[in-house]
Amino acid sequence: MTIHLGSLEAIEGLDAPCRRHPFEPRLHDALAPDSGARFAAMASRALPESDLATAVLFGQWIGWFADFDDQRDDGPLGSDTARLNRRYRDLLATVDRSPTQRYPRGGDEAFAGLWRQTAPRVGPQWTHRFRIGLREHWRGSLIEAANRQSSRVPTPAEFVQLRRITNGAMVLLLPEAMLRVDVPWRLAQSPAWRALVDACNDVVGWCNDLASVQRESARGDIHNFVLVIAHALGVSRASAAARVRERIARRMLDMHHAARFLPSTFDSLGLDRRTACDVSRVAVTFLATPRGHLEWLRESSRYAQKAA
Amino acid sequence: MTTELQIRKLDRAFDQLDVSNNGQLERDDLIGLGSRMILGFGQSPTSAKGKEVLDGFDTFWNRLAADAKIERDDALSPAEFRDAMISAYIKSDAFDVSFRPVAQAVAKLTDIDNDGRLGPAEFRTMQIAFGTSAENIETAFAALDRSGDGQISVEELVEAAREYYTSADPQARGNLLFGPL
Repeated sequence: MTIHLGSLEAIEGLDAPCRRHPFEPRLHDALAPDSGARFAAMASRALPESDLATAVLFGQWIGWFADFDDQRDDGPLGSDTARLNRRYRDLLATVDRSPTQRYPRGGDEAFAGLWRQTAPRVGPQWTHRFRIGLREHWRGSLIEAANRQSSRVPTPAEFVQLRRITNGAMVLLLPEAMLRVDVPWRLAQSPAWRALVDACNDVVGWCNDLASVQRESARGDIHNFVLVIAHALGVSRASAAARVRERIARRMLDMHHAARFLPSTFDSLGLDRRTACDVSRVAVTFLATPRGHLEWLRESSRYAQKAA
Repeated sequence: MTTELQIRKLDRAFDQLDVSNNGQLERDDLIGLGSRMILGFGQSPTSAKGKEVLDGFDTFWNRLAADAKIERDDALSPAEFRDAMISAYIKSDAFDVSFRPVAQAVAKLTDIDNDGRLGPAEFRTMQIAFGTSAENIETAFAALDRSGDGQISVEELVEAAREYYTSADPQARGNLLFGPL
């Protein structure tokens, strides 16, 4: 079954092409060894205004997250709980390390290298939020591992919460660090900001599920919204995909609705004009992310079906 | 020759555009301003209106950078900004090519219901992003509402922007685009 992503582009907010980094060819050169996944294309669209080094850093992060996902979904981390826990403890130890401490050998050196470049770009509150996200991601991974071992299919409501954690608990914190914007804690916890981020997270995760359903179904992984809905409602995958598409359209409306409330939230929190414009750049990055992700899905070979 | 009125308006424009308030105008300031505006109207950079605003600010910045002979990621001091604006839009007639697009994009963004006209609420949302005070917003709207019907057309707003940023005429209504000078 082929999932057609083109129909998603009729949804408001997904209907205009992304702005792209002016040095995208150099981004591809810097991130070339990604086997057709084209994370440079994603970085170009996520950070079209940033300097080249920042866009490269973001592309490297996306590559790391994709590799980590593959290890959890396809590799031993998905079923070996002890190994999974060791991995997360190692990541947390890196996050908790002070800038002057040496990173021990044998750990995830790729993550350590990315962390060394990223954490100094923002303040300690961002690190605190990343640490929370990492712990949530750990919890989500354990739930997924348990589901795989017991062949339990989560309910749609359970899956939505689980997908938010495993899809965006950490990666959706990156725009702040890339833009060097410290989103004030009270704003990050505000209903409008949380609604914006959650809606963005859902749209990206569910679009990804539409693209990856054949791959995940082939390996027997049930952590895909199309498969979860098909199972819950007893409908065909085509019908389930249509329902996911409808939910994506509704969440796009929710995302824009949340964004409209942000200026009044800025006012109520007493943000000065500079901070309001800075955090607006982060919010606008979230608003562009669904379309950027969609365009990347079209260009990437990550979910292409391999010939038998 | 540039008049004192034009210089005064351009100096005020610098303060409005320097959202980081660091005494330098950078491309990031314009992107921040554009982002703040897009949010205010519930648009995104991947909606037609939102993209047009950011693309418009890009075109505007590229022209300023070219006239000031700086790189894309460099900054402009108040004097350099003033000189670049004079060069591009007062001494030359580049307004239609590199300023009108962003003015039209902002006006169309402000026109929420796409009827070609803006009411006080829409106008206020746009002005707040520029840091205009509530009192000045009210004065500006009254000045630009030529017919007194509580509406400003998109084209009237674009024309007001042209007058504000380029006109030497002390009687031009557009001088009051952001309230009394």
